[in-house]
Amino acid sequence: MMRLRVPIFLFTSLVTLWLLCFPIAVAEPISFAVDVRPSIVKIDAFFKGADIFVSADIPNCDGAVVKMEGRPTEISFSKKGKVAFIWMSVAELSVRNIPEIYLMAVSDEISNFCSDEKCAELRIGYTALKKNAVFESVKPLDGTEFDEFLKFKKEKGAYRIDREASISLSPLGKAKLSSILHLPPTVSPGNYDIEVYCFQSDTLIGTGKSKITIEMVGLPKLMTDLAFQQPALHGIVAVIIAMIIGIIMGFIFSSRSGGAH
Amino acid sequence: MNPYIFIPIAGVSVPIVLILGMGLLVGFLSGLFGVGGGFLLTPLLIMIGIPPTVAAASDSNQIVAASTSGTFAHWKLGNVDFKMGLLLLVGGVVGGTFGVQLIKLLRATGNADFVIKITYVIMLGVIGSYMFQESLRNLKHRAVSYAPREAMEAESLFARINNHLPLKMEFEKSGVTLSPLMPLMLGILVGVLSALMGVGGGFIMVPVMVYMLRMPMHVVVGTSLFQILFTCINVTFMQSYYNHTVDLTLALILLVGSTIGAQIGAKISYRLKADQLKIILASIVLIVMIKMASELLMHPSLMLTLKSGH
Repeated sequence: MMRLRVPIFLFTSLVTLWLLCFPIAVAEPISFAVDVRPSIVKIDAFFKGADIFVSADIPNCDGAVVKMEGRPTEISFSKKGKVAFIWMSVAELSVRNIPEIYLMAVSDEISNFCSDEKCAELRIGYTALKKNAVFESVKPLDGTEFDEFLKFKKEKGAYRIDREASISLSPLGKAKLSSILHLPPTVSPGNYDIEVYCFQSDTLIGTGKSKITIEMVGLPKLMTDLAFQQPALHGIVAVIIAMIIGIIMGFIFSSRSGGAH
Repeated sequence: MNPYIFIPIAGVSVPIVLILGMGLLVGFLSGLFGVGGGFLLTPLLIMIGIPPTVAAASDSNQIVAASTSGTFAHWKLGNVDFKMGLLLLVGGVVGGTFGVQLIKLLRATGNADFVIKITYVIMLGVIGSYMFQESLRNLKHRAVSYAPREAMEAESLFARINNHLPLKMEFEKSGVTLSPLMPLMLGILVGVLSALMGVGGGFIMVPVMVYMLRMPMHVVVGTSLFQILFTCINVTFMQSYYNHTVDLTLALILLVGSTIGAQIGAKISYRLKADQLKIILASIVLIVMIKMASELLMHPSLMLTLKSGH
């Protein structure tokens, strides 16, 4: 009996040692190129938001996510509450570690292809954002803050998740991803990453990234620069233009009525 | 096709026709009643998604154009009492400065929002109801018999206070003899209320001039616009310099509509009877009051609003 136990012990030890030295290789997600059109969005006088078309050749997968996430920011809010039948601001509230914009296109329900842990790690979905958001107020928080914040952002078009990513299979076993992200007019100028994630059986099997530049041009840029860089001049110009237009309109109308009489 | 215009300071895109239409409507009311229209336009702009601070500041800018145009039209018609307007303006500046400090104090105690909203509803309710009832009574009396106005004036508290004030002065254009202290004090009162409510104050100033200073309605309109012009020049510059909230693009579109509307309003105001004008203004004031009161009483769709200055 003793003779038998020694070889078993030696065999088990050798196998353990081999596994420790040569662990089973975990497949790294493959990287692929992402095409974004347009890659430069110009905010001009007639800008009313824009559609961004994202496409990529991706590995065959269960589900895909296209994400555009803005810089982390801090926002201060007034929270409404009821005081003796009247709705009024009852507390000041600030939230930080949340993106100023969060746009996503998905091919399916997120929970169908991405585990909660993986989603939290990659900041995919509102639940992931909720975990990172930090709310602060001098008054006690009641737990509804994130939902109310989400409602606020959704109404502005700054946070949205659409089922607008489609995956089409090619005969060679490759897949093609096509999707649209809807940029709201409230988007701030700057550089943004467009990230694409592909999942197979809850595992991330492919990622890709591209950049998009949003810039203010023409009249909006002129007005914004004047308002923020030379506020005194902006104030004087605003008053003078208003008065001149008022006087011109006065002359036009008085001369018209004079002619009529 | 409905072209949109991007409002850079507000960061929103809005239909040009909608903004032009709003300007036209408010300018029309401005010319018709001598009110700046801030109490009406600011809530309308907020309703289409303009942030409250940008809405209020840009509204002040467009009121400069509308009131310049309106003052010009009324001056040509001989409807501006400059002497009375200057006294009210001085009082308004003093009262406004005091009101701003009062807001700071209320904010420190955390009661500013409540006080501002309640003041709005009460002021609009009292002024609107009084104007409506009085105008209705006058219209009815005129149909039956002409009641002597002097008899009613003799009994008023205002007349008794005025008789005891020194330095009587004649205001030819308005056809009244008053102590300059009276318009000065009323200007201070309106200035405090204007600062509290964040508006030009025309809708408070007009009833004050009609019911307390007993000025003729057509002179009231022109004089009120003259006073509003200077108040809004000050507000526009201050908002632009300190808060960067004046959106010139938005203001320019609004003021194109409002200046045209102001001219049309001024022409129509000269043709309408004073009580007809008052009853229309009273109805508008009451509608705005009911809307504001309902906002205070009904569950808001969004429980969070961006924190902003008054």
